[in-house]
Amino acid sequence: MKLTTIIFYLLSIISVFSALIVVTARSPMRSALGLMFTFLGLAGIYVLLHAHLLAVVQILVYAGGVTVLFAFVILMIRHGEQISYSGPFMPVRVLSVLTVLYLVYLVGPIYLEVQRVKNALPAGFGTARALGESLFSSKHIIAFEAVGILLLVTMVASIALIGRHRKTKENQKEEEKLENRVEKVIPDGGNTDA
Amino acid sequence: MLNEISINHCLILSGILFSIGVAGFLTRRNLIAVLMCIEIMLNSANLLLVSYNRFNPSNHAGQIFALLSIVIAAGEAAIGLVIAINAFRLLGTIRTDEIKEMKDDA
Repeated sequence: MKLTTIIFYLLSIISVFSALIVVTARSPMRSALGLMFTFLGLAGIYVLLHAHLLAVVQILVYAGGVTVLFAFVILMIRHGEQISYSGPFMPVRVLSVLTVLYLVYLVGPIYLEVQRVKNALPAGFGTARALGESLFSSKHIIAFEAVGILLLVTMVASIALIGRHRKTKENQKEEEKLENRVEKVIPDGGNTDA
Repeated sequence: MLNEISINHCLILSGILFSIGVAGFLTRRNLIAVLMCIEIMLNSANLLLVSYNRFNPSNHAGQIFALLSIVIAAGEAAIGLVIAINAFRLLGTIRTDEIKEMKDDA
C-alpha cells in the first residue's frame, strides 16, 4: 500500500469521526470543534487530490473563518441543548434508517463499476497560478464577478439584519408619548443651563 | 480495499459525509447544529467536485466551481447565523421544535 493511500485513509477516518462528533455531541461548542477537524481533514484530502490552492482556501475560510463564526455565535447565544432523540413529532429512528438506506444508495453503485481513470496530470495542476489563470479567463470571469457581488450583498444583508431593531409603529407611538411627558415635566426640554 | 487512491475512494467518502450531514440535519434540534450539518453536506459536494477534477484534469472547472461554492457557503453560514441570533432575540430560543410562530394550528 502506498503512503498516500495510508494518509488518505487516515484523513478520511478523521473527517468521518469528526463529522459524527458534530452530529452527536451534546454541547454545540464540541460540535464546532468537530466541524473544524472535519474541515482540516478535507483540506488534507484536497492536497492529496492535487488541489493545493483549494486546501489553503479551505483552511483559511472554513477552519479559520466559518468555525470561529460558529463559536462566537454559540458564545453569544449560550443556550444548552438537551437532545431528546425520542421526540414526539419526529420519528428519529425511522429517519436514521432512511439515511443509512440513502447511504447505501449513494455508495452501492460505486462498488459495482470500479473504473480507474489514469490521466497524466498536466504540469502545475491545481496551483494558484494555473487556477488563477483559468479563473480570470473569459470562461469563468462572469461567475467570479457574480460571486463577488453576492458576497457584498451578503455582507450588507447580515449587517442590516443584525443591526438596530427597526422602529415598529407601536414603539414609535410609545416613544412619542414618552417625549411629550418629558416636555410637560421640563418645559425647556431638559435644558438646565440657565 | 483498493491499493491506490481512485475516484471511488473519494466518492465513498463524500457519500458517507453527506449521509452524516443529512442525518444530523434531520435529527438535531439546535438551529446552529443544523447549520453545521449543512456545512458538512456542502463540503462533501466540494470534495466530489475536486475529485472529479483530479481524475479528469484537462481543465480546472471542478476546482473553480469548488472555490465559488466555498464563497457561497461562507455567505450562507453568515446569513444563517444572523437568522439564528435574530430568532434567539425575538423568540428566546433556537430549538427548532420550540419555534412554532409560523405554524397554523393555534
